[in-house]
Amino acid sequence: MQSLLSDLVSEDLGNGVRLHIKETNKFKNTLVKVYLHQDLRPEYATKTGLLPQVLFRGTESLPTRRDLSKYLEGLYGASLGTSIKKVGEVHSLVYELEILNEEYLPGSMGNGLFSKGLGVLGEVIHQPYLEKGRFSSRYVVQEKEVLKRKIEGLINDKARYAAMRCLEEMCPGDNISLSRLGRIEDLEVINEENLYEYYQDILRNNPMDIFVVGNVTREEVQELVSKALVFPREGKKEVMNLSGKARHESKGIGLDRAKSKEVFEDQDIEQGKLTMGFRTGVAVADPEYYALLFYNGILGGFVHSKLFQNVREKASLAYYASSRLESSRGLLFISSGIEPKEYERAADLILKQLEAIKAGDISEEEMEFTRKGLINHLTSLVDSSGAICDYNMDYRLNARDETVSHALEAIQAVSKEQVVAVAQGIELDTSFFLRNSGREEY
Amino acid sequence: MAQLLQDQTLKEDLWYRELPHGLKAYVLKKPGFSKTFATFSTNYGSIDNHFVVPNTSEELRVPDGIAHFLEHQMFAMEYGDAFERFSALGAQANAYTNYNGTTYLFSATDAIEEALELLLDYVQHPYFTEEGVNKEKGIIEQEVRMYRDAPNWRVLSNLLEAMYFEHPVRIDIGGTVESVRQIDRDLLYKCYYTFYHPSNMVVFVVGDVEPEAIFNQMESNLLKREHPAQGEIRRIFPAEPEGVREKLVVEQMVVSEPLFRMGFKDVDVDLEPRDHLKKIVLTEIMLESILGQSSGLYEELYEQGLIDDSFSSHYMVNINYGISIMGGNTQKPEELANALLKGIERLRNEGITEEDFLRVRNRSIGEYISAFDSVESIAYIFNTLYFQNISLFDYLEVLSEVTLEDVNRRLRDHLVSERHVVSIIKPKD
Repeated sequence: MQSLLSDLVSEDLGNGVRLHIKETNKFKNTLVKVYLHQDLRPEYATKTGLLPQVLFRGTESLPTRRDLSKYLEGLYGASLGTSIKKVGEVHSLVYELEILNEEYLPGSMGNGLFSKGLGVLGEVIHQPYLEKGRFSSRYVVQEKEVLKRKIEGLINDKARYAAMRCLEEMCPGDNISLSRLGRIEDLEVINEENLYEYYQDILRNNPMDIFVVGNVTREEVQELVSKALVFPREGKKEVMNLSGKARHESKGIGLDRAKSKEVFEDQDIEQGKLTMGFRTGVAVADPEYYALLFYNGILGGFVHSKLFQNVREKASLAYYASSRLESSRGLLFISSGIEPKEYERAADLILKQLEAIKAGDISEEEMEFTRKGLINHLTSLVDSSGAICDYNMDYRLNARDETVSHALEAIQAVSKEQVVAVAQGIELDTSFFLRNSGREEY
Repeated sequence: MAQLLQDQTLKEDLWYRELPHGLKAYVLKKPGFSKTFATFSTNYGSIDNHFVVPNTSEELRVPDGIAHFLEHQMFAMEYGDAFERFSALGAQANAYTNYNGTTYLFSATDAIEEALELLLDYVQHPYFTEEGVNKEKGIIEQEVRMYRDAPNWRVLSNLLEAMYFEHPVRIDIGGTVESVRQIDRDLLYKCYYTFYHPSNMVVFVVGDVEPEAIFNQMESNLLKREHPAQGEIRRIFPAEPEGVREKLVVEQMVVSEPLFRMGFKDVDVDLEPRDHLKKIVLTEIMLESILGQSSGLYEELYEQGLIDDSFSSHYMVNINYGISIMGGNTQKPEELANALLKGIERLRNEGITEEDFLRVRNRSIGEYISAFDSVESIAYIFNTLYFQNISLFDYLEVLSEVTLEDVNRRLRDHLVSERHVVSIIKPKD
């Protein structure tokens, strides 16, 4: 099985561009994923957030979204998209092309499909549709409106909204609390001219990662990529999550809810949404990171985990109760959907699970099931070309070059003592509860 | 011996064997994949809420949400929780209930044989206790409430309720908090013994596995068991009028802007398998041709500020119902409804062009082939098609057979203004 886990081959193309290739004949598609990185800062965030919307409106030779969509349909439904990603304090514009391998199309129908796909991807990145040397003013006006409504729409998904609000309350004024979509108040001053200038600047200077996963050869990719995707640039800017930021001064709260921050918000909803935010003091780049992964697994990553077993199975308080890590900064979040009147009981029961781990109450089984679960998760990643790219990207952005094989070794080596040691540093910061005080009881 | 089905375009091999007690089993081999994904499904979903209990003449109308409740309870075993046992193997287990089927599944990179054995064992072994059933009610109540707070779910669920007079697709899969409370152990056993007979079920395994070994393992597992022979299951479906119950349904929720869905009721239902599949293919191509991002209508509506990139369309279908659904978020739901109806009427008269049809068909071919890059999507497609009596490899074949005339006829016959419903979620004041 180990041979399946061979990792990407990476090379530096100079001026801030890195190319990562995984040759595999496992997939019927070839995936090309390009990440252009920027710092997540108030002064950039909204422009960065708006760019995917504007770039997907059209290119020099395919000036409308309709033209672009028609062209892609002609390439047997090649999927091409632009999106935005946030990893800690790194904000990345993502361009993604997924295109069928030529061998799956009868006769000569598929000839040159890959290079045509790369060509249109390259155009979306480097030759967007312009009017008088800048973005189309109509496109920018329309997409500002669409983005504004998307930001306002963050309230629609209640569980996500509670998670977002918890982070904001936990890290007020901190870059990490910025939405990947940006802020409504910054939209007004953005226009076709300053947005285009901004885009030209990051295209020229900001670091770029290009991933290619599929039935390709290195030589072919190097040639096609240099033709279609890489243009003269300077690459002056560096973007990276700074390690060490996970360290924090203990406020002496520990797991004491009475000393931590509690925020309540009312909405006319049926189910209360609870998010509890913790500081762990351990981030991806730290040596204790794999012990933290274990901690999260034992606490709330799986169905054997303490939260699922105790909050859902034993107490029937919730349909879901789980935990997840914000690995760049070492934050941990627990989420659960509960009856509004059960807040006290649920919050206490949740904290009891963290207390238990802290006191060393971890069974052999919990260690082993978690180990197997983490390994299963990692070995599964290589079945998805998208996951291969994201996994590698996330680690790189957190200043840790990590291969799947090394991660597997690290997981094998984690001991219960290491998990308990990590547990000592975990501190409750903020509980956010979205509730409905006015709802009648059934 | 197993039978081998091959597809030249997909370059995939599908193995089939019928096992003891009439259980059907399929294996798709995916060389090089780390993960094996297995599903064990029964042809029993939320719409099967009225039936005759086998070997009796008892006609039973069961509480809403019971198929889904049963799915939750299946994990209960004398030894505890089957869910947790998968965790012990490092496998990830799950289950889902939809309108016409219930699927139990796992995904694993190791200990495949043990995980498969566990899947076969727990699904064939109902163990319901009074205490377990009552405990599960609290969990399911929270699941039901979670969906009730999800605007995207509500806008669809309201649409189905407004469209149908009688057909049980109008009822939420999970039922309501009240109907879930009426469910008890005896009812669960009755449903189990009616619908979980192996002859009403199918196993699908996809991964880098040896088909013969998988079939042999399943055969031994089945041979150990006693399943009394079962005749045909008699499901009772009420007659459904052709029209719609309500043209417009509006609800208020805490949302930032209105959510909009328009649905067209399909009256061409209960077709033979091949015709049914052809209808699905035609409807999907038709919807994409007139409403996809490459269509003139999409561009028009976007330019008018009536839609944004959340707008999409899909065909929700089963043997005895079908709905073409289109929509997204909008500031002006009433204007969007009018513009859509006008645009569709225009297209019904003018027809889809040859160029658009061919392009969209190419896209569909590419998308279907692409889905075979993920074991999860393969299994999902397999199960969805299987319970509509369609085999995994028929889809592409029919896709290459349909013509522009077929698609235009489907457009004229199906998207008829008299059979449309609009569902809107509006922001609470």
